[in-house]
Amino acid sequence: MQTARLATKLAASGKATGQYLDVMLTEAENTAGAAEQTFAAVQPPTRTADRLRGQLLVVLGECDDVLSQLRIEVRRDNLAALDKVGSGLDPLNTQLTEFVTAHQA
Amino acid sequence: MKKVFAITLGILTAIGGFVDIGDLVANALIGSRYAFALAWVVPIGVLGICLYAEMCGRVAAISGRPVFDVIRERLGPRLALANLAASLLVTGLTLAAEIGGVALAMELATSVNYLLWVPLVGVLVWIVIWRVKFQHMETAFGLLGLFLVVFAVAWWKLGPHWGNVLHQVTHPALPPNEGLPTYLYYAIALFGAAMTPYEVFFFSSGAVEEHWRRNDLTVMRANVFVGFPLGGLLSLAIMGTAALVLFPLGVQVDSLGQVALPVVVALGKIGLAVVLVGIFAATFGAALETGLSVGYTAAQFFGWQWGKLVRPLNAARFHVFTLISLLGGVLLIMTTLDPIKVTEYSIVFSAVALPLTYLPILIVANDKDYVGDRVNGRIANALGMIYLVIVVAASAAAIPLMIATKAGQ
Repeated sequence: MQTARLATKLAASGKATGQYLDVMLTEAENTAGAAEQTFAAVQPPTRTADRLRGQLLVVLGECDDVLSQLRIEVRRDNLAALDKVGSGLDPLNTQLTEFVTAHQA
Repeated sequence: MKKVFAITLGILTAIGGFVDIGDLVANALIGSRYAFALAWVVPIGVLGICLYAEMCGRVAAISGRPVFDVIRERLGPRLALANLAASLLVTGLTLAAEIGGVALAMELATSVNYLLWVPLVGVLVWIVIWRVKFQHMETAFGLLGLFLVVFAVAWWKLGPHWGNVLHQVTHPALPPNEGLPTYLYYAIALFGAAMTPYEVFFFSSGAVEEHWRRNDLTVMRANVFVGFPLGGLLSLAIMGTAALVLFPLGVQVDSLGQVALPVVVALGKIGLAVVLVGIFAATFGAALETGLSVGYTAAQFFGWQWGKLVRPLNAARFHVFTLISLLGGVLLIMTTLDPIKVTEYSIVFSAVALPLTYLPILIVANDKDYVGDRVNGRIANALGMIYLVIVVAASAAAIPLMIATKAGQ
């Protein structure tokens, strides 16, 4: 997700080509999608795990939505919109970091 | 002019061989995950490859025969067969990774999926091996590979605090949340990437292709002691850019696009264009080297006619074997196996195979029947023995660490 955010900032400053950004953002979307699928496929062992799973899947789903939107914009050659759409990743990144910190071991 | 061309061989093996897909991925990954905490491995790897490449070049220049051919004769077919099997496995895997690397570089330039590029890359590599003269091949890809110097420019442009960098290099410390086994696993991977077996076999076979003789020893040493350290400096620059841009963000490199990302941050679109040309040249050059190395080692073991200086009709088995290897590499990547994962495994398996490669070289370089009065001196033997201990330790620890850390996770 940080890679995608950095890529959108590069787009805003005109430092990267559309082709490069397309590859980077598509990879980020695929990685996020894979992570979401992995957690969705895990059978939660307890009610507490149910709740954690639900919280995490909501955040990952929102990440996936933003990354999909970024992919759509870059393929429409609308590079100017990437930074604005990509800013939606900032709060999600904070939420994920807090989630990991709160539930680490 | 001839000497300039000869030195280019060293530059090619340094950049196309030392900096190949394995070094690009390993150095960027380690820089993004450990910053400079593993930078100390790079000079150790550089010194090791210089030491053994010099032995290989000397054996080839004095005896007029490639080192693998001599190993088979000196140590017998059984030990040479073990060497051949390990070399073919590791070099074949590396060849597949290089083909994937070229295709990924094309994808980054065009956004056309890399799988569509893979067959075309395979055909192009084969055409170059088949048609292009050895010297033209090394000159073209040697010079284009120098575009990777953009990593050093980007590192300087990013403006690191050099004192802080030096402190981190000389006082390596584990980042929080990182365990010692994973640290050691990546140290071995980086060492394996630096001392990849195909480099020395290609170097000595190339020396024979170029008809090096006793009076070329000075040029050969210039190649080794200039070319490989240049590759080592580029490796450090790749690590340095990742450490400055990706490490603070907590980004862990798992794609070739991320390897180039710090250069784009520092130098924008021009930097992107230059780094993509550099990555293309380094991986394409390494695909040629690994493809040829597979053919060289097999032909030298079985006693077939080999080499690019021989008409293909007269070295049919060498060319067919090389072509089959290329086809195997293309098919492996076409299975959609991630080329970056293939790269990571190839450098770890390189580390496993190191003793089988380097012990026979040390023995042959001390045999007066092949090198006459140019046998190893005391310093070369002392360093050679120290490196043998290191490669045996790395080889023994690689697989257990791979299992224990789930391949560095």
